[in-house]
Formats: sequence, C-alpha cells, structure tokens
Amino acid sequence: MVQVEYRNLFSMGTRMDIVLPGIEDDHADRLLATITDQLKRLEDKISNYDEDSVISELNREAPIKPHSIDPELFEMIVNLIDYSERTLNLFDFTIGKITGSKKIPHKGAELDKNELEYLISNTGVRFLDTDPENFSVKYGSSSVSIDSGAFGKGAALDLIKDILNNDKTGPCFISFGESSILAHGIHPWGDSWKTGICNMFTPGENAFVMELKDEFMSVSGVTPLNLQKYGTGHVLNPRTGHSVNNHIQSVAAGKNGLVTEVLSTALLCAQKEERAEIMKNFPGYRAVVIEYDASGQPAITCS
Amino acid sequence: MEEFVNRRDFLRTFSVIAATSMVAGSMPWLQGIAQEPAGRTVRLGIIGMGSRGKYLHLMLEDIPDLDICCVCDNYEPNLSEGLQILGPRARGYKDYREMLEKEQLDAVVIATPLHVHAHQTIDALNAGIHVMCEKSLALTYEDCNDMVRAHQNTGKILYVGHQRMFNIRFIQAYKMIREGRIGNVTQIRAYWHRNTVWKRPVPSPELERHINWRFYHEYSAGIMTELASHQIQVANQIYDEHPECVWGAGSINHWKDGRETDDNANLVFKYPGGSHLVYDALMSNMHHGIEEQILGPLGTMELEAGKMWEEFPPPAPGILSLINHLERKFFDAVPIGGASWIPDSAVSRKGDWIIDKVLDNDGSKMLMEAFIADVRSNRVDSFITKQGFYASIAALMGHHAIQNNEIVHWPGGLAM
Repeated sequence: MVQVEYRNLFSMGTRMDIVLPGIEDDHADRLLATITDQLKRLEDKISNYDEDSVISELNREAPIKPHSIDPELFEMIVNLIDYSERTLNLFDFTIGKITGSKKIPHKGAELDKNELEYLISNTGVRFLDTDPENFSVKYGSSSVSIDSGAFGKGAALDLIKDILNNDKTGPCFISFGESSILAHGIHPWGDSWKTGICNMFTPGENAFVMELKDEFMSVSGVTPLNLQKYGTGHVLNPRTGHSVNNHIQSVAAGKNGLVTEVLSTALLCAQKEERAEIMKNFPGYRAVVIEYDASGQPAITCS
Repeated sequence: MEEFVNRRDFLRTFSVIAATSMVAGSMPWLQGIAQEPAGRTVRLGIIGMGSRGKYLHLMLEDIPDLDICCVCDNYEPNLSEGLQILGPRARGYKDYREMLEKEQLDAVVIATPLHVHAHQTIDALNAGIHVMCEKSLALTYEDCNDMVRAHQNTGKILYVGHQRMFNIRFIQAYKMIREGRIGNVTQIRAYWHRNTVWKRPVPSPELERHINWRFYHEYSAGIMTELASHQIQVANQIYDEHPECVWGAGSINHWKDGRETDDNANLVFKYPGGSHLVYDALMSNMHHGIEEQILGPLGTMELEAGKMWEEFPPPAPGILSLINHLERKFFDAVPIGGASWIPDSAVSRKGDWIIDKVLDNDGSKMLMEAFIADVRSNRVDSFITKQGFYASIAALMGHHAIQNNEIVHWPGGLAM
C-alpha cells in the first residue's frame, strides 16, 4: 500500500484538507508547519474580522487619504482591480459594506432600497486609486470597503503553491472548504487530478468532471442546503446587491488561484451571454456553469 | 455555550452521565449525593475560619437539616468573624480539642494550615467524628499515613477537599475518557500560572509566619501542597494510578521577599506504563493561567476551559475516497461539493464543549453537599480518601524531588 499522508488545518473560517501521496510523515509535518505559518501571516494581513489587519486599517484610512500598504498586498489589489474590470465588474471586492452588513438577505434582513442603491452606485473598482510609487491606495468613496472573503482563499492557495514549488514537493491535492482546490502536479496513477463536481440534487453523482494538471479550481454555487440554511443564496450580484438565488454552480480552472476564485464568482452572477465574453478576457482558463432546472436536471455550459 | 447549573441540575445531569453501569461503577464518590437526603439533622463544627473556612461555610449554609453549631480558630480575628457569621447560637473555641470534647458533633470541616491537619483529623476521627479535611492532607508521608490509618481504624468518613471531583465538567470528562473518546491517555500537562505575590496582609510582624504559613517549610510545601495537589489528583484519577516517581526543579526567582517556598516549579511525574504528568507552576506570569491538558492519540481535552478537540477530524467524504484510491494505486475522480457542502460556510476550530453545562461554583458546593449527605447516611466510601491520600503523597514527593534534587519514588508501606 502506498503511503499517503493526510493533514488538515483551519484558516479563514474554513477547513483545509491536504493529501500528500508518497511523502514521509516528517516531511508532511514540516510542510504543514510552513503552510500554517504562512496562512496565519496572510490572514493577519487580509482578515476583515481582525480590526488590526492591514485590510481593516486600509478600510478605515483609505476613504480619508492615500494609505500605504506592503508591496505584496498592493500588487494583489492592483491585480484584483484588473481582474474585476476583465469580469465586466461582476467580480467586485469593494462591496464589503454590503456583504459585511447585517442587513443582507442571508443574515435575515434587507438593506433599505435607497440605501442599497446608494451603496451599489458608490462602490466598484473605479473608486480605487492606486499609487505604485508609494504602494498606496485611496478610496474615492466612503462606501467602498474591501471584502477579503471574495478572494482570500485563492490568495491562500497561490501562497501554498509557491511553498510546494520551492519545496519541490511531489503531487499533492488540497481542498480548501471543497470550494477552492489546488491540484499540485498530477495524480501519481493518472494523467491529471480528475475532480468531480457533485450533482447537488443526486448524491454520489458528478455533474461534471474537471481534469486538473498542476492547476487551481474554484467552485461557487447556490445549493439547496444554502437556501435551506440561509433562505437565500450567499453570493451577492454586485450590480444589484441582490442574492443569486437559483440552483447553480460555476467552476473555473487554471494556473492561478486568485483568478479562478474571481472567475467562479463572476460567472455565478453573469448573464449567459456575458460568460463567453468574460472568459475571452482570461486566456488559458476554462470554466463550466451548471444550472439545475426545477426537476434537478443539470444543464452544463462550457467556456 | 455553557450554561450554569444548580444542585438539582447537577443531579439530573449526573444521573444522565452515570446512566451506564460502567460509568456509575467508576464514580463511587458520587453515589451518596445522588440519593435523596434523609431528614436527620447533622451537627457540624468548622475548624479554621480563615478565607477557605469562610468560603466552605458559604457552600454549607443553605444545606437543609445542617446545624453548624460551633467554630474553632486560634486566631482571634478569624474566630470573632466566624462567630458573627454563624450567629448568636454558635459557640466558639480556640482549642479544637475542647470543641471536640464539649460538642456532640457528627462531623467537622478542617480548613487550617497544612501542618496541623494531621493531629486535628486524627483526633476528630478517634472521637467518632466524620472529617472533611482541606487538601493537602499533611506535610509528611507519616502524617498522611496516620490520617488514613485513623480513617480505616475508626470507620469514619475522611473526605479531602478536591472539588474538581464534584465539578460536572470534570465528571463528564472522566466519563468520555473512560469511553475512549481521546484514546488511551498518553500525557497530561498541567500548569498553574498566576502573577501574584500570594501573600496575605499581616497586622503585625510577629504574625507573619502564622498568617503566611504557605511560605515557610515548617508549615507547608508551598506550591506543591497548596496548588499542585489539585492537579495531581486530576492526573491520578485519569490515569487511575498514582505516580511511580517524580523529578524536577523549583526556585524562588521573582518574589524574593523572605519566603522559603518556591515561586516556580517544573516537574515530571512518571506513571506506570510510561505516561507522564508534566507539571509547572509560576507566580510571575499569568498569561497561560491554569489548565489541565489531557492528551491522547484521538484527541485533547482542556478541563479548565471545558473544551475538547478531535485529533483527526474525519476528512470530507471526497477526500477520504481520494486517500483510499491513492493508497490502492487507483485513479478516479475526487468528488467535491457533496451532499453536505454549503459553499463558503464558516467552520470553527475552537473546539467542542466537553459538556454544555458548568457549575455555578468550582465544585466546592457539591463537595460539601456530598460530604453532608454521606455523614447523614453514614456512608463511608474510601475512594475520595484514596484520591486525597495519593495526591498528597505525590505532592510531597514533588516537594522532596525539588528540595533534594533527586528522583523520588513512591514510598513503600503506605496505608493504601
């Protein structure tokens, strides 16, 4: 029997499963320690729940004046602005005041219509001014607030990918809350990591299988359990501020964790005709959207 | 979240915990309190009315059919205060022997300095009086032994004040450990960290040794007998053994105020089978506070926090099947987002409550209730005596290990 090391950790309110085939347990422990350490560093930087984090400080200061941050986070924000524009602004990480509000549908309340309209019209990456010389960011609207929940897991997996590459770790499969995947290398007994997206209505059946070769994959979705738990979907369409409420899964795969996170979120909110347009802006990435009809039958659109 | 419980809730919860015969059989010290108290009035005296004596009185005062008729303390301010608390009908004594002789007592509670526990306990037992003696039992092996022999010879109850034995959280933890929830316990780590001088105010210098008796070797073994004994008792009960030997070190590295007993200690108690209690105490930092961490191959418990963590939370079903496939050199799809998947739902690694209830005190109330219930029904069970005895001996072993810088073995020829 082949030795397979399994480790798990908790970060960003999410459980991470790490499967490492053909590796010594000491090596696995060492990797886990490095990953845990780096994720803690990232979380300390981007957490919206820690008022001392860099992002929290930025959200407090940047509406008032340009606020300098570390180059690593600055580069991430610049990239996210670019990605947001390439998704036709359907990925919007500036709506933290809406997603963080207690008055959103899946928290059991709704923002007042006028309040919501005001927030929507005063958020978006167009309100972010970046200065690469000073690594500073200025918000052009006091309604802007960066929500790291929109991209944190992708950033975390990118970080881990660097750790694995530097360590020259062999094949490895990492699932971050079953919605963000890092398939490092390829399956030792196959030519990829075949990753099945479960049919949300038919247990034990895959609606789609994505073959990952040293790639990332992100899944967003609105499941029956989502709706049962919250009464509504948890992803907000940044154009309307309303929840996506149909049974849908969007899956994106490619060479960067942050991008796949951005894409799966944007595709969940996009109109059908917008999906292809968005994917054209991300060459080398592929995606599927799985929509379920009233009888639970999946309809799959590949891009 | 944890919810506070009173006596009635305690008994209800305990009866649920003890519902299995295996558990009930392993918790004999709780059988007395679980019975309805009979109506016979118990006459009780308190020896020692310092801070602990007053606290224990508070735990006793609303027990029905209990007549706390007298109090003894050789320190006048404590005696006066004790009489004031007990009310006009109570009688006060400076000499406990006079109290034992003149009062028709069923029981006494002893909350005096360590070095006088032995003769007070032995005299009371020999007078046919049940005893609840504060921990630790005594300052020497011989005194501890003599106290237990007196209990055995007289057939009278000898309780020792280990209140964690009556804390519902600890009781539930014992049950879960016995059921194998964290596997065989392979290590216990306990610490008691406080940032305090531990010194009581002294009205005049000649009373220093009398009041701050915990600082002087003539009266106390300091940290070991006054703090560590509680946590050693917990370890003994969990391992269901006493330690074979102990080694360690201690010193006074912060509170250099003339005290003789250490302000820090680090010890390893070795138990049969090779498991250890790793113990440390510190009086110059309180960041870590107090804890008993119980470690096994399947999980960890922190008894003071009341939390437990599974060592290996089961992987998500898809991940489990991936591991199986890899082990068998089989290539198939990893299913992601199964039936229980809720995208982006937050999970916590803050641990699970051992029990979602906690006593509204540290267990001392139930300890007193149990003692009075056993006195009332004349139920003599040596389990709690044994727990107190073993913890006291082990605490003294730790003290000797530090004092003599040597490995100290469990002494032979003991009464239990």
